[in-house]
Order: sequence, then structure tokens, then C-alpha cells
Amino acid sequence: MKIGVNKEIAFTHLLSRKRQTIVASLGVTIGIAMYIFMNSLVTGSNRYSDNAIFKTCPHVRIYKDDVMSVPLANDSSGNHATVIINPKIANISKNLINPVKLVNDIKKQPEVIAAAPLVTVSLFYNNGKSQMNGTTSGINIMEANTMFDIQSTMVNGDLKTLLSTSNGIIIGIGIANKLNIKLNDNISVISSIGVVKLMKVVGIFKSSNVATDKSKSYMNLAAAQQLLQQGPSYVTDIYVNIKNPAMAPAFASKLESLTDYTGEDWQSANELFVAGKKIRSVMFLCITWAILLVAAFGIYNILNMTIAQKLNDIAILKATGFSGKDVVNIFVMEALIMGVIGNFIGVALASLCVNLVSHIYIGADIGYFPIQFEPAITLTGVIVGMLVTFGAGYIPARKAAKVDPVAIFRK
Amino acid sequence: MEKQIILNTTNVGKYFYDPVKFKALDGITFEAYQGEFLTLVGKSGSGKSTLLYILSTMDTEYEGELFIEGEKITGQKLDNLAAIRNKNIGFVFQFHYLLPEFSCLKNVMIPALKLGKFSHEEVEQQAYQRLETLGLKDQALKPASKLSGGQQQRVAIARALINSPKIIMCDEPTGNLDSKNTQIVFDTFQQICREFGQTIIAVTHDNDFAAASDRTIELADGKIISHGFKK
Repeated sequence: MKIGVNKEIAFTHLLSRKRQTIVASLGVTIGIAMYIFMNSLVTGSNRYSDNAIFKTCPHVRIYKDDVMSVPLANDSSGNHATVIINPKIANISKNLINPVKLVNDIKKQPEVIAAAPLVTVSLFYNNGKSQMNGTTSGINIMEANTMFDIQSTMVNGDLKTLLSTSNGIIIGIGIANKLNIKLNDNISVISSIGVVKLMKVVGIFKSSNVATDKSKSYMNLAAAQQLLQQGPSYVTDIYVNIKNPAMAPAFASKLESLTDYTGEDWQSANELFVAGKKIRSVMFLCITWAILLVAAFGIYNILNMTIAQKLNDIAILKATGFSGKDVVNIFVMEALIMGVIGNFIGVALASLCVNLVSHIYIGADIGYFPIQFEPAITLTGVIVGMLVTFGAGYIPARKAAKVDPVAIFRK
Repeated sequence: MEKQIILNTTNVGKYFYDPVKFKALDGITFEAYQGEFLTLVGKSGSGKSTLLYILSTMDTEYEGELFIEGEKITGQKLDNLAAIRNKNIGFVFQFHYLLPEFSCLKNVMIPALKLGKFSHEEVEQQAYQRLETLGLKDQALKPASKLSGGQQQRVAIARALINSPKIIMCDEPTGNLDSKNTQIVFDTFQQICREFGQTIIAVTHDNDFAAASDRTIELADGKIISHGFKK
């Protein structure tokens, strides 16, 4: 009942000044719409660029890092100097020991979605006299596909053909163009240790990265092992994908302690990209908050004006038994009602903007603009919007609560 | 018959500091009885309005003590005072002070809705009744700002009566009205005292109005010079 009469007064105030109410609400509308829209934009493009990274980079890569040679004998007594000439990278095999068990162990971790062993080989692609250098990944192509979605980048051929073609290779479109190679042509490759193999092109892919297209290829694990003259247990890397890519650094160090090899998360492999993403986020955060604050000032201003014009009414309300709390209640409620209206239209406007922008065609492998309706951001936007309007209402409302009725009546 | 004291003060004093320190009220001690039609008179600047605002509980900066129905009001919290005003005190001001956006009916209803003792429908019913007794039933749904001065003042009286307060305080209730409306207001006040036993404390300039009341307290320079008890 008590809330009822306050609400009634708040509504009457708002309805008797429709234009002010609408203007203040529209301020919130624009603030909220921009907040949701811009954040959706950032989230959408971040998601897209993350995905682009994840097309070539696993969440975590396990490999055996180079170690520096150590003194053969360490003299701990301190009487003699330890002598070692020219410390350098120890020439130890990069092979991961017992890769099958290692992969199985990794797959048992609850966070893991996929784990695949692979052999990375530096090589030259040859066709006649033309030659290009690059790297190939010997990997089970179907496992690689679940991680990197290679299928979606294929412009020619089919991934599955590789499984049935032991000397098959899938090359980037840059290599194919430069060496003038088409699907089902042969290509000769020379590995860094001089092994030559004739491969059959079973597929051509086109990623979003030109450098990758000009150097990267995929082949079967066994073929890559042959290029290095190694047996079937030879594996240089294990690629691991986990459920939440953001947790990769923690998971990498967990794997390090579990396996004794080096774990590299995608963030440290792409530091520049991660830094760029952070800068973008901060930038947009500033912009969206600035817009929200402007909207809040709109409400603050209009309520301040209303209160200044309604000093008489406030004095009467207080005289007839409304306490300071009730007065705060009334004006905060007015702010919140304007906030709710503003939020409601704001969400609608943001959805419309998102919908419009998502129909803009960008081209390349992006296709349409990478933006979609983000429920989490919308919810945050609505909550933030309500908090801001509450604040913008509360400050002038407190001033109203302090109005001294006697001072008003005496004038 | 022993009269029951509804409101009393002991030694109330009040200072104004702007522009210079000045004692507006000094040693005010008096009682108001149930069912009494009491008027406060005095020259302009005698402190009668100041006293009324202290009695109304709205002004809290004074010396001395104020009691309503024996309960000490001085020193209570502002929210409590608001509740006391809502329940026990009705106000009628010189410039009728209605809420302009609301209909007359709503204006009358608001203090009762705030009190929350009756349902919305019951309050509406009571408000209609009050307006009817004051001859305003057909104006009930008009916005308050559309009424004439006399009508607005009667709406204000209806509002002051809605919660059946023990005390009704008026600041120059007829100061702005023609003689016909003054008569209506006066008759209404007398009826309130006689029939419902409510107390009226009115500040007035109008000598006829004061003379017709039960008792007139006269102030001069912040002091009571006559308690006005009839011999």
C-alpha cells in the first residue's frame, strides 16, 4: 500500500511531463543500444579473429624444447673452476618418448576436447626448377580437422582422400599457384635432411593468411616420419585443444608438470594478437561507458529540473506525512521507470543494429560481418543501464528528500 | 467538565539567525484542548506562523518541548514525525497548495493512501464523501489546477480531514478568500469541532474569524500576551 501510493505519484509525474520522460528515456535508449551494439561488435570480431588463430594454432602445443649443454662435471667444492668450452644447444632428438601413451594420458584430462600427435618437417616444394620452402605437418588429417576445421578452407579436393593416399599431400593455394600445380598433380618435396619424396596433391586449401598459404602443407604422419628417416614412434609435437581457450596458460603449465615437456599456450604463441585484443577491449569499454554516462547525465539533469520545479509539491507531500525515504522512493522510481523504458527500447534498437550489421558482406573467408546477438552482453547492458539510472536518480532524489517544507511554506 | 489536553508546549523558544540573531519566539507555554477551535492572532512578525510550524512538527529547530496527546514530540526522528503528521495532523495553507497534476479526488486521497489503513476503494469512497460534504462532488475528477481559489481551499480542507486527524492546523485559511467562501470555510471548521471533536489551531489576520472561534491566543513580539480564556 505504501509502495502503491509512491508509485502512483511517480507515474503521475512522469505522465504529466511526457516529453521530458521520453527525452530522458531516449538518452538511456541510445546509451544502452550503443553499449550492447559496440560490445557485440568487439565480441563478434574477437571471436572471429580467435577462430582465425585457432585455424593454424592449437590451444596448447606440447614439444621438447632445446636445452643448452651443461658441464659434464660440476665441481661443488669450489676449489676448481668448472671448464666447458662454448656452451650450445645440445643435439638431442626432438622426439617425444612414447607418444601414444602420452596422447592417451592427455586425452584423459577432463578439459581436453582433442589431442593429436604430429611431426613437423621443414622442407622444400619443387616442381621442375621452381622451388619454395615451407613446413609440413604430418598428422592424422581427421583429428587435425576437428581442431583447425581445415575442411572449411578447402578449395579443391577432399580431406578424406589423404587417409587412403599414403603419399598424399594437401597444400596451400599459394604453393599451388606459384608452382603451377593442380589437384592430382605430383609435387616433389625435399626435407631438411635431404630426403626426397614424390607426393600427390589430394587437396588445396586457402586460409585467411597468405603466408600460411605459401608455406604450409599437411600429409600423413608416416610420410612425414619418412621425410625425417624416423620410425613410426617419432613424434615432435602434440597439439591439444581444450574446452575453454582462455584457460590455456593454466592448462599448459599443468601439462608441463604432467609430461615433463614444454607446453606452449596460444596466448604466448600470439602475444601481439592478444595485446591488440586487449587494447581494443579497453578502447571500446571507454567509449561505451562514456555514452552510458552521457545518458545518465540526461536523467540526472531532467530529475534535477523536475525537483527544482516541484519544491512546493515535495513540501506538501512532506507536510501530509511523507518521509524523506518516501520522497527518495518517488524520484528514484521515476528514474527507474525511465530507465526501464530506455532499456527496453535500447535492447530493441541494439538488436536491430546487430541484425543490420550482420547483413553487411565483408568478403574473403569472413563472409558476413562477424556479429551476432549476445545474450550475456545484453543482460550486462541492461543491468549496467539500470544501475546507472539508479545512481542518476538517487543523487537528485536525496536532495529532494532534504527539502525543508517550512522554508518553502514561509516564502 | 474537565477538558482533555490534546497538544501542549512548555517554554518554546525559537531563534532566527539570518540576517542577525533574533528571538522570534520566547517562552511559549500553552495548551490546546480536544474539540477546541483555537485561533492564533497577532501583528505581522509576532511569531504566530513560526509557532504554528513548530506545532506542526515540521520545524524541529527550537528550544522547549512539544507534546501531542501527552507524547513528547521534541527530539523524535524525522521519519517518525512524518508518520505522526500523517496520522494526527491535517494542514490547510493560505495558498491552498494542492498537487497540480492530480485530480481533486487524488489530492484528497493521497494522505490516506500513505496511511495505508484502508484499501484503495475505501479511501476513494471516503474521499468522495468528504468532497460531497464540502459541496465539491461534481469537481472531484477535475485536475486541481482547474478549480477556483475557494474550491481549491475546500479541497485542501477535505484533504486535511481525510485521515480524521486529532488536530487540524491552518495558516491563514481564509486569507485569500472572498466573504462567501470564508463563511463556508468557517462553518466547516465549526462543524468539525462540534461534531467530530477535532481540534483546530488556526493562524489568522481576520478579526471576525478570530472573534467567532472558541478561544484566541494573542501573540506580540514572540510572547503570548493573552490566552484568551473567556471569563
